[in-house]
Amino acid sequence: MSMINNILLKALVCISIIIIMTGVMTSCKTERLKIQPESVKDITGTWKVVKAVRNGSAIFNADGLNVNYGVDYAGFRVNFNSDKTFKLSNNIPFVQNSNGTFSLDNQDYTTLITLKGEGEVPVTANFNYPFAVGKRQLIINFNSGCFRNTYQYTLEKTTE
Amino acid sequence: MIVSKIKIKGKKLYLLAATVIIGLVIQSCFEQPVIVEMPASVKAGENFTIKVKTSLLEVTAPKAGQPRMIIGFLAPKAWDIRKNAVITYESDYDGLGVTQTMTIVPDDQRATVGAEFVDEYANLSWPEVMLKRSGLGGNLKPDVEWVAFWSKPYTVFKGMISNPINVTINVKAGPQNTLVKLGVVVSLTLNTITDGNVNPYKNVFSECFEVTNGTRPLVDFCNPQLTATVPIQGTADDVITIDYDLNIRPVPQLIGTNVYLNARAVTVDDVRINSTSRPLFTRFTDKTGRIEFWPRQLFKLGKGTQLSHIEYFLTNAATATPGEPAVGPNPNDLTEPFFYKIGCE
Repeated sequence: MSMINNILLKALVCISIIIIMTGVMTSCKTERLKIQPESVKDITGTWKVVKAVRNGSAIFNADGLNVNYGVDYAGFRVNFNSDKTFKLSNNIPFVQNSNGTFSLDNQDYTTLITLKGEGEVPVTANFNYPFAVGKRQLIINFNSGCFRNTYQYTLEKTTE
Repeated sequence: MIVSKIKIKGKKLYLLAATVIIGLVIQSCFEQPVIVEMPASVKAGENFTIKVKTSLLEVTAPKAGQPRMIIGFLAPKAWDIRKNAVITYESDYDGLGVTQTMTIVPDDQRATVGAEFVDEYANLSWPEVMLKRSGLGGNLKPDVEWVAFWSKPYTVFKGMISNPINVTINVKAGPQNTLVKLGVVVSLTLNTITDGNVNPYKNVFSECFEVTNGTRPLVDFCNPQLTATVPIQGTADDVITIDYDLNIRPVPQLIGTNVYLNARAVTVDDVRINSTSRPLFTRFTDKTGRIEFWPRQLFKLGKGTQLSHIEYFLTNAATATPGEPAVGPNPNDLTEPFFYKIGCE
């Protein structure tokens, strides 16, 4: 019976701690975040893939061995033009497979890019625009049409 | 007593305290189930029977709730177990010789879990819990599924202590030639997933079971294959990677030489589209290599073309050559190609 008492004592300690913690956690004031306006995103230019990830595993990395097993990531280019058209060359699986028009969902806090290939249904993809390794990068997330198969391409501007 | 073995340490205090409280209310555990009867093979589409024996030990009557016994069954999705399996049991509780038939657990039924597993298993259905806890049971492809059945509710399980429970699974094999490991879970709807001795969740898996005289291609869940594909299932717009490994099955014509992919796409209307080129595998060693391709590009698919699957062989010839090897998955049937399913299930 002393063991049962011991257990009940431990349970009592626990319940006391929970009550105290609840008090502590609910006593905090909500602090409102001050929102800083973001810079306007200008993605015009020619972009190449520097990294491709499929379902969480890298399948291409320009900094790595740059091995081509049959899909030419290194040769792929996408041009985003100031007239809101885009042009693909040396196609690889992408948000769209034919040239068309694009839009960003709004100039502040852009997280979505919509690409509409000619004669295609527009497809919206998640989009990040970090400043990394001294360069702007464009990171696009999309799926292949099967929600289970996700791709993330990291693009950098190129003059090649 | 079980609870006396628990050592309480710092951060785990809350979880353990909660577990102890619940542990005082219910203690139950299944003896490791054993498959006591099962054929090694069956003809496609025919019924067969698996007999499993277990017992329920150390039961204290719960203060609330009406526990049901849970039986999970793991089989190929193509067998459609929901329609094609009947699970019955007999136990001392109802009287041996009295057969009770189990029913399928409703899809919206959430599994009950012990306190220390609440975070990990919260709000999952029984088949989801079985997949997470028991996995694919050694099957190497994911096209198998757990289906959960349950007994009628019992007022108490007291009285079943150490007594046998005989479970009979009568199932109709699917239409396709198959090699698969079948699995069985026994569990309870009360405080089900806990650890240590208080563990009313047990599983058992069969050896590799064969379905013969059925349709091709052979679906082999048991053995590593000459080729492995990633992703396991995809669309015409995926990047598909195929690796081959001749260590798994040495094919003399392919060792130490160029290996090419000879592929055709098959549409949902059963139209065959041959690839105009034969891509070359990048060789890692004399026996291993890799290729990646984009089906839309390799087969020059139009916009509206809907694929059902891709069939392929490995060969050492860059172009069609009489007498060239066409290496598929089945060393006994050289006309059978590797099969890659297009879809998203």
